[in-house]
Amino acid sequence: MKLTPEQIQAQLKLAGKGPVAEVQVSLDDIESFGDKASMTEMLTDIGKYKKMLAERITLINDALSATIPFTRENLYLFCAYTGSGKSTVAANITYPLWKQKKKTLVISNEESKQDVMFRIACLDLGLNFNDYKKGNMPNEDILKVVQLFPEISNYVKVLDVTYQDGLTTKVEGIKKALESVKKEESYSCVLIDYFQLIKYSLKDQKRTGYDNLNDLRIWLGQYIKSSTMPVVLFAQLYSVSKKGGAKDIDTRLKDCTSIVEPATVIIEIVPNFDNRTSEFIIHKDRFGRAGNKIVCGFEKGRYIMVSDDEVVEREKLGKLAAVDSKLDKLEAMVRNGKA
Amino acid sequence: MDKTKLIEITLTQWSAQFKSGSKKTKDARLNFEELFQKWKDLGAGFDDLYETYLPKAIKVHQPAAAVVRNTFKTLKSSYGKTEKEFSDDWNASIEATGQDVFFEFFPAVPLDKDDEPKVYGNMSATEYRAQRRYADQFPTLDTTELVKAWREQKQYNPEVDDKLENILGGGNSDETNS
Repeated sequence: MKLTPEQIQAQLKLAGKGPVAEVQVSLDDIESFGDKASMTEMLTDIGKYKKMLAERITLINDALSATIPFTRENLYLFCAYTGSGKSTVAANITYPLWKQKKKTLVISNEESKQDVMFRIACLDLGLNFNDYKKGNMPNEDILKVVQLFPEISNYVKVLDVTYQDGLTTKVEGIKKALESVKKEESYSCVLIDYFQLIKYSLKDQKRTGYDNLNDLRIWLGQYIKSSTMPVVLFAQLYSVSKKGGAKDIDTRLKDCTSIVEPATVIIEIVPNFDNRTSEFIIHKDRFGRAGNKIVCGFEKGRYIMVSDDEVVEREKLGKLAAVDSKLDKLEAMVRNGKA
Repeated sequence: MDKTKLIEITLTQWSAQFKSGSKKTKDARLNFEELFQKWKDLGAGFDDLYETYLPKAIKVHQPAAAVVRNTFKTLKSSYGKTEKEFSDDWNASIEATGQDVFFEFFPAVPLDKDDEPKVYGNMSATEYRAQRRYADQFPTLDTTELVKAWREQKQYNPEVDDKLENILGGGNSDETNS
């Protein structure tokens, strides 16, 4: 038996695959703008936005906190070239929140959980995390660090790459973790370090890395709209020199550049070894500071507020140190030459 | 003679053999190997070839429209696809072979590959200088006033704030985003 076009449409409708209803925009709809209902809707949204801003929490230090409201319903993308400070920034975000007794979830698919904890403890004790990594940290200091672990772990929860056989590198694992903390509502912040390593899927192993990253990107865009805490996502950048110094961040984001779309704030971290500062370049900001940078001093692993005068002073000291170092090398060469 | 010219001449010589001889799909791998080895012997690298010359080489090895049509006519009863689909499949298989062999001869160099010694953290001196030049393009934000307001938590006039609170009251009870 052959179905009529009407019967076919009816069957499709039953299967939820019918044609999309025709869009209607009446003149009445347009003219209703400004009536009581639309005014209430707008005022309510302004109220919500204001409340969101009022709920901002500390972001690393006062300079960054004051400039970029760190609050729920926002996705903060921190990007850096490899080895330029992503994990250090993660520790610097977590550290003040722990001190304020605010709970944070750190999803780390690169560093181990003990390293994440070690970094935070080092910030509190004024110790250099790299000394530990290089095996130069005295045992007394290591003891002090690990003694802080129970206290830190009351507020800082870490899922690392060993969790459930690498679940932090799988799209489904990240989604589930984020859904869990959203339900619980006691978390102040979630950090994911880092984006490009979430390239696998449990459900479909044939999907490419890009497909998985893009899937997560779309999902995050929906998630943050009702998130009860800010979500911080770290991402790797391509080298500036290989990308011809392009000012546009999109071209330098590795693997899935469209992560810029759901991000409400994009900050690039650029260290300055000459004056012991780091620059936080604001590439995108729903709060209106894009195109500028904030310079922070870098002391014992922490990003601290510095004045312009201090930056100038640091530059002078940096130049002096560079000259000293050159002189030392020259002296050594002369000595070796004489020898 | 410069390298680019030699690469072009090698491609022309390689293409010439197909004008009289066979360019069967089953021979594609061998044919590509022959060309890529010659390019390699000239000292050509991935960046010299991938975007400019590899597509030309693949195009040379892809079948002419007349050949596709004649073959399709012969095979169409057993093939079960349209002539366009048949042509696309054939071309795609040649392209895949060309790409595959190319990467065996010229592995893609990672964009971040940097053989220079690392002087600044994980960066070479060249990379570091580039990063500094790049970062210097952005103006530094004066955060003095913003920090003052943040510390005092007095961003709003209390009177205005109260009035605003009354007007916007409805929105504050709702935790969800619109």
